[in-house]
Amino acid sequence: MSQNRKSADVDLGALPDLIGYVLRRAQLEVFQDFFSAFAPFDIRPAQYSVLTVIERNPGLTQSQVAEALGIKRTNFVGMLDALEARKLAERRQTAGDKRSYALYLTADGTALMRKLKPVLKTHETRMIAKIGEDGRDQLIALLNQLADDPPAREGHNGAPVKPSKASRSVRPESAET
Amino acid sequence: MARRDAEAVQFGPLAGWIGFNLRMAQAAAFQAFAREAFGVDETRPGRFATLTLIAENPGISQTALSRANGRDKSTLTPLLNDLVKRGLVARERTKTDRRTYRLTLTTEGQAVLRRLTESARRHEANLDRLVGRADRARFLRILKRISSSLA
Repeated sequence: MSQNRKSADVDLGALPDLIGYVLRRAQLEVFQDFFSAFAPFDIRPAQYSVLTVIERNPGLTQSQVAEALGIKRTNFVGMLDALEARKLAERRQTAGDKRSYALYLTADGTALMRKLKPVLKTHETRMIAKIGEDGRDQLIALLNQLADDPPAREGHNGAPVKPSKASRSVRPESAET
Repeated sequence: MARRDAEAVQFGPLAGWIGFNLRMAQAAAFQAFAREAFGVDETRPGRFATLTLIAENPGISQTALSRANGRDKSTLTPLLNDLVKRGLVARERTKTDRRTYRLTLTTEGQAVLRRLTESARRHEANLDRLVGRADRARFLRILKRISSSLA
């Protein structure tokens, strides 16, 4: 496979023809750009996603937000603890259910999100420069076909609704990076 | 986008963000690969790629491997340590440069890779079905334009 000889003569074999592999490489590259852009604010992609969902849906419960983003419950608790410690988001006990918490942004969280919006826009503009607006639209449509696969929707991060033997025994890399 | 049972949730700008969509699709694909490869040792896709690269390039150095795989050394080293501990990868010092290691697969590593490759093939067939045969090439082309080192 001479056309696959890239990166200083390393033979990538069949990997560049595998959707799963190429998808992973693209995702890592986009996240790398995100990390550099958001480093001054100490915000990682998963944190940005959580803050956005809370901002757009104030008062959702922890499990609703975790489920919407496909984040495992145990990991989500730790993420929220960190956001709460930084006073960006807060848990409020819901009336009638002592075990259930509703999530809100704090004033600091809202202010930070306002500051982050142009940062995301600049990052996104750099990504679109690689594939074009049209490429972006096509890509997102194709990605949704993968993400909406019914069996895959059981749990994006090893958190199936009904735990099966397989999904408990094998864990894909954490989606919280 | 994400899960239908969470349809009431507003994703706001995330819905149009390339990174978010890549991550959700990639997590779904990883999960599906893990299910497909269940029963085979070392089902994590990152390990599959690493084993494949070592098999295709016997004697490769850790630096060349991390560059080829788009991983930095800090994530590759623990992965390799684990593969060595499991007896799938052998790490030997080179004669010329004591600081450089040559990586090869052990016999056991080759056997595991063969089984994983079978799983990957079935898994890819599933992804093809979801994306559609006709769209596959277009999909790979767009993804490779994002991942400049693969383009």
